[in-house]
Amino acid sequence: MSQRQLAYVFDLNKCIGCHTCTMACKQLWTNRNGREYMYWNNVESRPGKGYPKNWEQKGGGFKGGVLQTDGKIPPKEDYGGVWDYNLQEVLLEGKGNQVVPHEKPTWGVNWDEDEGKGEFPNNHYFYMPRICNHCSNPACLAACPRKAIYKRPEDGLVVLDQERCKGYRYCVKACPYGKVYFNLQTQKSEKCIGCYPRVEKGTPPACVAQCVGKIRFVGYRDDKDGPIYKLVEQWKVALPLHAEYGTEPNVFYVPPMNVTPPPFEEDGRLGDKPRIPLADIEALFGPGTKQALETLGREMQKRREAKPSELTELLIGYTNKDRFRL
Amino acid sequence: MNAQTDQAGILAGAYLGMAQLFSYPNPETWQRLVEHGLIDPTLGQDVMEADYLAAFELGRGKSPVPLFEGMHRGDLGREGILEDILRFYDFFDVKLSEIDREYPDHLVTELEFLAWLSMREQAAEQKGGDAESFRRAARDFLTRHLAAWLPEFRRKLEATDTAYAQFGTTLAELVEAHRGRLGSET
Amino acid sequence: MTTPTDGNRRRTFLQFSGAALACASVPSSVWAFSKIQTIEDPLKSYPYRGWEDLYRKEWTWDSVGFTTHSNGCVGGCAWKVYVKNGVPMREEQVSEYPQLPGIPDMNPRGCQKGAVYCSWVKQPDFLKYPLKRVGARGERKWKRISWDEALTEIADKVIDTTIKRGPGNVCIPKRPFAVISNTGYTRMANLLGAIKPDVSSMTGDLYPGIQTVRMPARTVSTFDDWFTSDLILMWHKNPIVTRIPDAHFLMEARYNGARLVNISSDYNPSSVHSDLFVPVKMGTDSHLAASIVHELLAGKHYKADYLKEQTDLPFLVRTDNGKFLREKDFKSDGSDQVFYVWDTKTGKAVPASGSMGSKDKTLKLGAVDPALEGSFNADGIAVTTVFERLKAEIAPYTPEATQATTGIHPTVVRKLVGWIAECKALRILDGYNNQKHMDGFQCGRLKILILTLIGHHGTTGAIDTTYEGWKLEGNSELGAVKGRPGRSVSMVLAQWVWGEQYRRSKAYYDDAQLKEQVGFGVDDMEALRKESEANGWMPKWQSIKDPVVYINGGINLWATSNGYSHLAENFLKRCELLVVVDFRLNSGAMYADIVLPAAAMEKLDIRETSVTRFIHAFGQPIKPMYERKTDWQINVALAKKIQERAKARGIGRVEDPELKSFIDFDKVYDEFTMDGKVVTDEQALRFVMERSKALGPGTYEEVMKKGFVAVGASAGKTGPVPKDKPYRPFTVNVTDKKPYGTLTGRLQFYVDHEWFQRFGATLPKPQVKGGHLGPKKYPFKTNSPHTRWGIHSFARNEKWLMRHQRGEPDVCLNPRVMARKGIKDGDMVRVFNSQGEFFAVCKVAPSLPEDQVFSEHGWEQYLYKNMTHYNNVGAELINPLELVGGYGHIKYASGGFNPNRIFYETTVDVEKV
Repeated sequence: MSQRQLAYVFDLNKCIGCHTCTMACKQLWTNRNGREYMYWNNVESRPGKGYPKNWEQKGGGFKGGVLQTDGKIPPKEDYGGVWDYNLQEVLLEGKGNQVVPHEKPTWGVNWDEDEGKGEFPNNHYFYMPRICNHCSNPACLAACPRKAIYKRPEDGLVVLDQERCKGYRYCVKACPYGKVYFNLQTQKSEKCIGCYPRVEKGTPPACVAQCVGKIRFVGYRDDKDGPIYKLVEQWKVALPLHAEYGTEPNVFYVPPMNVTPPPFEEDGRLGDKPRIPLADIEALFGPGTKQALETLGREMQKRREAKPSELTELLIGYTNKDRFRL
Repeated sequence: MNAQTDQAGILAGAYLGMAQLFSYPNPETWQRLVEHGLIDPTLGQDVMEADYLAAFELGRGKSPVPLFEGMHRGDLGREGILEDILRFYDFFDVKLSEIDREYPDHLVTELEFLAWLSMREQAAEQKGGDAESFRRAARDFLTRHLAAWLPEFRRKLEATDTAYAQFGTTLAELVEAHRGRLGSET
Repeated sequence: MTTPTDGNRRRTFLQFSGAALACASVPSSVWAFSKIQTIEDPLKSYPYRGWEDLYRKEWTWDSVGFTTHSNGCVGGCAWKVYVKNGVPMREEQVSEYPQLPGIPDMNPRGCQKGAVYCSWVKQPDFLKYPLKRVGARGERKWKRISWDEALTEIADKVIDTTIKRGPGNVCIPKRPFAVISNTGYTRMANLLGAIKPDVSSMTGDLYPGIQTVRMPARTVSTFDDWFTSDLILMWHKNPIVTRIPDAHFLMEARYNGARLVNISSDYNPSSVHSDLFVPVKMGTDSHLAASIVHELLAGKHYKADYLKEQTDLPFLVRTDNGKFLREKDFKSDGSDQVFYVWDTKTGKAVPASGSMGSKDKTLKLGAVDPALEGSFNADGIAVTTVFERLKAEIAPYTPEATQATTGIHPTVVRKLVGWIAECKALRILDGYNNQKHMDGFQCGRLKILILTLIGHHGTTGAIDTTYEGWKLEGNSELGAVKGRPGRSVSMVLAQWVWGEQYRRSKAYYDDAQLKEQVGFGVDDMEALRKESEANGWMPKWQSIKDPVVYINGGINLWATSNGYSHLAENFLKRCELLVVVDFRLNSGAMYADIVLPAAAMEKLDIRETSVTRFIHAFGQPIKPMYERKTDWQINVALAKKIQERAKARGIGRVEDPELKSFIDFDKVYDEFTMDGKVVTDEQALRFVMERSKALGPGTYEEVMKKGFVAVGASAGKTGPVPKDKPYRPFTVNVTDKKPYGTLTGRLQFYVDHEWFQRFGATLPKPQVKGGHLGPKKYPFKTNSPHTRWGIHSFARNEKWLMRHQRGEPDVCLNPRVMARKGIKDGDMVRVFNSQGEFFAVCKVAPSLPEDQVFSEHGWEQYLYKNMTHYNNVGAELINPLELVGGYGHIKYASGGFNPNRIFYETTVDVEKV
C-alpha cells in the first residue's frame, strides 16, 4: 500500500479541448523511441469513440473484485496513424503537386473531434482529457506476472519497471481505460509515469502545469486543505470515470453541466429539457452525477445573485498555488 | 603502442577528410580537397557543387539523399536520435559550432565527432590517459549511429547520378576499418 | 553549369581508394572542425563505460531561453525553450505572471501550437538558404544562392525599376508579427517610396463600421477584464478555439456569476460553454442586432444621462435634408464641424462642445440639458434629434419581424434583451467574421449601439474587437522617415485592380440579386471605387502603379485573399521580381523568384500585442542556424546592398514629385541605420524600448531575463493602463469627459455624409435586406473561420497537430446534407462554383446548419489535390460605405478605415468525387 496517494481533478466545464496537455506530454515523453503512436495524455470529444478507438469496449478491469482476463489488446489501427509528409519533395524539389501524408489516414487520436451526438441546433459534445488513472487498485498491476508494475509508496503513482518488463502485455489487456501501451521497438510495455521526476521536485506533471484552460488540480488525497479533498470528498462534485471498472481511479472529473445552453423546440422557442441527457453523463461518472450537477448549479446561481460561494472560488482556482498542492 | 597511436591519428585524419568531402563544395573547400589530393581536379568546382545540390538538397530527377541520420531512420523518430547524439556530445564536452550552425545528426557533424574521439584517443595513448574510454565511445557511437544508417545512406547515394555516388564506398570502408580495429581490441 | 558526360562520370574522382587509411597521407592537423567545437583540455578524461552512462548522467540543459510564438496570433505568451547544445528540444510556458488583486492570473499562457514549436521548426519546409527559382514560377525548382547574389539582384531591380518606371512601383507588404521585424520593412518602404498595403483589411480584419462610431475601432480590454463582466456576448467569435490562452477567463467569469451567450450560425466549441446559444442564420446578424436595439428602445432600457453626454444621439438633424444642424446653417462663415443640441432648459438650440470644430474640448454639458427626443424649430429650421430618427428607422425591426430573416424566435430575443437590460457589466466579444459579410459594416455600428444604449461603453463594459498593440513611441520613431511617407494603400483595392478581382466578382455575382438586396451591383462598386479615388478619399496607387518589384515579408501570399489561382495569375503578370521573405517555404513562396530565409526560433525581438499588459520577448534562445537572418538583419543587408550598388553605378537622388519627396539610393544604408545607430537587432530593439514611455531603460534587460515585461500606464491608446486592474479602453472619455476622436466628438451614430444618405445608412440599421448575396443556384454558404489547429497557416502543417486532425484538409458538412448527397465521412468531395473548385475530405459535423460548407482556414495550397485551395471559390464585394472619406474622422486609415475584404457572401455547391 502506498503511504500517500497523488490525485487529480479535471474540471470538464473548463476544458476547451485545446490539447495543450497532450502536446506537453508528447514533447516531454512520447515523441521518440517507439512511443510516437502513444498518447499518455489524450483529449477526446464525447460522446465519441475516443482513443484508442472504442476503448470502453475493450474489457479488462475487475468484476466483483475479480480481475477480468478477457481484455483485448487494441490493434495498431485503433490508435491511429503516425504519418509524415513529403514536404521536401514537393516544395524544394518540385516533384508531384500535392503534399500528402505517406499513408492514408483512416483513424487518429482525435478523429471524431467535435462530432458528439444529436441534431443541430440541439446537438451536444464536450471534451474529456484522459491520462493513466494511477488507480488505487490497478488492474495492470494485478495482471503482471513479472511484478514489473508497482505503486510508488511516496505518491501512489503507478509505474512500470522497464528492466523487469518482459513484454507479455497482460497489463495492456487488463487496463480497462486503454492506458497501457506496447512499445514495438523495445518490446516492452509503457505508460504514463505521472511525471514522477517532476513530482519529486514539487513540480506538477507537465500535462497539469501546462494546462492553459486551468482545468487541472493536483494534490494528495489526504490533504484536507487541498483542492482534491475539498472537491472530491467535501463538495462531492468530482467523480471517477467508470468507477464500475473496479480499479479505484485517482483522476476525478467535474462533470459537464448538462442543462445549458437550452435546446430549442420545433418552433424555435427554448425548450426545458437538458441539452445532454443526464443518463449519458451518469454512464460515465455514475450515480453521483446528479447530485454533483445540482450542487454546481446551486452554487453558480448564488454567484449570479452576488452571494459568496466557496465552491466556485475553488473551481476558479485563481493561481497555480490554488490548483497545485504537492 | 606506436602503431596504435598512429592508427588513431590516421583515423582522425581520415574522418576529417571525409567530413570535408561531404561538406558543401564552395570554392575554398574544393581548393583544399584538390590541394591535399583528395579529389581529382578534373572534377571541377562547379560540377561538384551542382552534384552536391543534386545529391543532397534538390535531387535531379530523383529524390535527394538527406545528410541527416534522423531522416534515414524515420521509424525511430528523429527527436530520439537527436537526444541520444546530444548526450554523446554532451558527455565529451563537444559543442556544436556557433558559426556553422547544424543539427547534431548531420553526417559531417558525426564524422567530426568520430575524428575528435580518435584524436583524443591518440592523445591519451601518448600522454598515458584513459584511451579505452574513447574507443568504447567510438564503438558505441558507430553501432548506435553512423554505422546504423550508413548502409541505407550509401544505397541511396549510389543510386544517384552524381560524383558523390562513389564516395559512399570509401566512407563505408573507413567505418569498417575503424570497427574492425575497435572490435579486435575489446 | 555543365555536368560531366557519362564517360566522365564513370571515372574515379577520389584520389584515394581501397582502405581509407590512405588518408594517412593527409594528417588530421591540416583539417579543421567545421560543425563542432571542442574544449582544449588535453588532460581531461572521460570515463566512459557504456552508452547507459549517457543516461545515468542526469538530463540537463545547457541553457533555457525565452521566446514567444505570437506569429499571426493576438495571444502573446512567454515560453521557456530548453536548449541542448544549440538545438531547441522542448518548451514549457513561463507561468510566472503576477496576479492582479481579485482576478485569476494568466498562468500558464501558451497553447498546443507553441508546445510543438520545437518539433515544427525541424521540418524540411523551414528554409535554410536563399533560393532562386530555376523553373517556371510555381514549379518549385530552385537553386541555392548566396545572400550576396540574392541581394544584388534585388537591389539592382529596385534601382532599375524606380529609374525606368518611376518611384512607387516597388511594393512591400509585410506582417512578421514582431516589432522591429515589422518596422524594418516600414522603414525600408518609406526610404524607397514603396507601396505599403494595409494588411488588416487584406485579411478581412478591419472594423470600418465601428470606426465611424469611435476611434480607434480596433481596440480591446486586456482579456483578464473578461472576469469583471456579468454578461458576455460571444458574437461571431469563438474564443474557446481562437483565444486559447485567455479562454479560461470566460469559464472563470461564469463561475463568478457571469452569463455567457454565444451568437453564432453553428454550435461551435464556445456555444458548448454558454448559457444561451443563439443560432442566427449566417449573414443576418444585423437584423438580430436591430431587433435587440428595438427592444431596448421600446422597453426604455437605455441610460438617458449617459447618452446625452457621451453620444451624438441628442444632436439635431434638419428634417428637410437630413443633415446635422451646423453652425454654418446660421452664419455663412460658421463652422461645418460645430453641431447643436436642444437645451430643454432654455428651449433653444445650443452648440455641443467637444466636436472637431468646437473650441471647447470637453464633453461636459454644464448647464445644458439636451433633449433626446422631440422635434423643434431652430431659428426657422425644422429639426429633430438623432435619437428620434433612430427610433423611427429601427421601428420596423421588431423581434417578430426579424424572425423570418434571422431564424431566432422573438422569445429568445427578449430573453437576451432581458439579460442585457439587467446586467451590470456587458461585454461584447466581436469576432472578425461579421465584417466579412456585406452586413458587417452596419452590424458593427449596431453592436456598439447596444453597449452604448445601456451606458456600459467606457464604464463597466466594452466591445472587444481586436488588439491594436500598445503605444510605443520608439517604434513609430524607428519606422518613420521625415518627409518620406511611402505609399499606403488598401490591399483589397490593390488586389481588386492588380488581381482583377473586379472582373471575377462581376462574372460570379448576379447584379439583379445584389441590387434587390443592397441597392448596388458589382459595376456600381467599380464606378464608386473610381469616384472615391478621384475624390481623394481612397489612395489611388493601385490604379497608376504596378507591383513590379514585390518584397513580401512574412505574409502567405494569396492565402488571405480570394480566387487564389486567378489572383496569382493576374498579379504575377504585373510583377517582374517577386521576393518572399519567410521562415518557411509556404504556398505563396512557391511562386517566388527569390526566397530569403528568415529566422524563426532565432529571432531577437518583442511582441506588443495588447490583450495582456505584457510585452513578450523573442529572446533568441538559439543563434541563427544555417544562413537564416532575422528580418531586421535582412533589411539592413538589403539597405547596404542598395547603397553599395547605387554608388557603384553612380546613382544618387531620384525625385518623387507625387509625394513631394525623393529617394537617396546612395544613402539608403546610412539612413536606414541612422548612421550606424541601429545596425544590430539589439540596437534597434533598445532604440524602440528605451524611447517608449511605457517601457524605458532597463526593460530590455528585464524582458530578456524573464520572457515578459509589463507596460507602464502610458501604453494605453485610449487611456492609462492601471497598475492594479485590467486595462479597459475609453474610460477617460467618461471619467474625464474627454471628447472621442470623431467628427462630433461623441460616440457617433449618425453620419450625414452624402454617400451614407444615398445608401440609406445614416443610422445603424441593416443594409442587406436579409437574403444571402451569393448566386442562389449554389445552395451552400461558405464559412472558413479560424481554427484551433493553427494561427492562419502558422503551424498548419505541423505533424503532431496534423495527426490530431484528418491528416489532410477537410471540409465539414451537416450529416443530413451528406446523406442527401450520398457522401460518407472520409469521402473526397469537390466544392465548386463558377469561379473555382477545391477538393477535400469530408468530415461529418452535426454542429452545422444544413446551409453551410465549413472549412477552417489556413490550409496551404499545396495540401490540396491539384493545388486547389479553399479560397479558389471565394468571390469578394466592396461596400461603398467603406470607400468614403473627407468626412472628419471617416477617412482612409491603414489598419483603421478602408474597404474590408467581404467574401462570406460566396455560395457554392458540393459533390462526391
